[in-house]
Amino acid sequence: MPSERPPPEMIAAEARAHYGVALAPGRAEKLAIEVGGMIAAADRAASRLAFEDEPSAFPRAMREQAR
Amino acid sequence: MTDPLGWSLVEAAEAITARKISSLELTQAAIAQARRWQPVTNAFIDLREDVAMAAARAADAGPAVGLLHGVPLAHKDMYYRKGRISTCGSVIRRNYVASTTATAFDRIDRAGAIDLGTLNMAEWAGGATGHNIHFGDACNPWSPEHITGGSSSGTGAAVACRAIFAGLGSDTGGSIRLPAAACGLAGIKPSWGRVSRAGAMPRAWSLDCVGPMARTVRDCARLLGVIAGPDQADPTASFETVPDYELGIDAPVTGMVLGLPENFFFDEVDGAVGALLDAALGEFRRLGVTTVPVTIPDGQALLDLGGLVSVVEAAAIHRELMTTRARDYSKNLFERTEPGLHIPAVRYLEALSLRAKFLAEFSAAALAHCDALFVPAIGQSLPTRAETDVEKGASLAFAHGKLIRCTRPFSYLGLPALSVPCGFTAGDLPAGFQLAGRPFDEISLFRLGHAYQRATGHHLKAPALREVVPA
Repeated sequence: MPSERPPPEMIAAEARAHYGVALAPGRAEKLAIEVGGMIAAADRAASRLAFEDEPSAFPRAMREQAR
Repeated sequence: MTDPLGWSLVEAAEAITARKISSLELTQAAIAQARRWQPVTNAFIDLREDVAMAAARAADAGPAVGLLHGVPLAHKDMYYRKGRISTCGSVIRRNYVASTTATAFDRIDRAGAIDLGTLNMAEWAGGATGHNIHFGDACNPWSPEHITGGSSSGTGAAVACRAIFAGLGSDTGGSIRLPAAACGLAGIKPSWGRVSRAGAMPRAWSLDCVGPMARTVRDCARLLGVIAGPDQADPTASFETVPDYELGIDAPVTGMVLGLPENFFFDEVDGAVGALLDAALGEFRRLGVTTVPVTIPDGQALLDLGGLVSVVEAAAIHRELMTTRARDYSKNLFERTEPGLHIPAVRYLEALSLRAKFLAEFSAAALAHCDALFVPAIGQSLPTRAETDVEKGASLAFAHGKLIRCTRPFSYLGLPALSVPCGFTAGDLPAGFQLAGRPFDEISLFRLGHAYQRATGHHLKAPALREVVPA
């Protein structure tokens, strides 16, 4: 799965179109780096452990791992 | 008679029930203490003296109704009480009157506690230090120049200065455990789902936990026992049986086993905190506890994925207000929440879906051969408020990232984690360790933490009232 840093232009357009936020100069670039870092971290985790498609997997795991 | 404000919650409740002191006397003393310390700590947002005194008189007039009968408490200002303002630490909610009462409050009320008022907190429960531009920073009674930890900053300060015997915090990534460690208290983030969140302001639904902070582990056990359990008003609250956390808490811990991570959790511990952690481990060994090394499978992923889930959910909760009331957010919180608006939904759902597998992996690797993990709460000596003031240019990585390194992984995993004070670094600055266990095994953490406190007594030391430092 490729790790992608979103283009700053896309971040700026999203902010303007969907959230009504006009980003300050340089803010889109900074956000792109932060968002890209988070996506990369999610990618690293997803590449090691397979996606779990059962909706109640986590509460079930909590019960299973209880003493 | 010793100073009643030095009693634990359990001792205070027993004294009131035995009519050795009235609830009114204790409440008056607590109010006086809160007023004395308020110029230093800024712990209270709303100290409701008349309401508390009336409740104390009513408690004295009737029989003991529960385990908290007549004991003055106060709580983080994000739990709703019908007809009362809940600010959630934000100017946006300065006049927000709740239309419902939190389930945790209902249960605490039924147990007979007196509510002294609302406590300061990080704006929208979104900060690890205790800064607040709207209501002023909560300040640490041990050293007002240093952070209280957050986001349950007012609870930390109010319990530490002995204005209340205990109070509720909330914990999404460390917000109970960090102020507990920074203020020299015990505090537990219970297993996810252990306590109903009905009537509590959400920060990030998948991670939020309601829990107590107090001076003793046993007090935390009592308060958690009061508030834990299923709730029709919160379908995410677990139906797992709630044990009597105080039953057997005095039993010897000989033969219990602590897991000591060989990687991740101790990587950034400084010398002063490290020495206190070593001493705490020595105390556990003297109590007959053995230790085993464990390897943490992927600590960085737990930190990263917890952050991703937290920021997306916080952004979803705040998107509208960030659009319409942007100027009413601190720059720090706004900019920390903003990335959540741009994370693809699929990546967020992947991060959530992986929790079950990470929990299974972590449990097998780190918890299979021990009763609890022993890790730092905050790995460094406490920074000052100035060093961590992001509004004035401090590094976010320092103010936030370093502080939550050892707490957030357990939030992502949904595991219970108890912060216990373990002494003081230079300048009388508190430090603490965490005990983290299997899902719903809070009772093992309480046993270990209680045994440690009985053997040591760091929690008995009280801060001295110092000159006022402007918040």
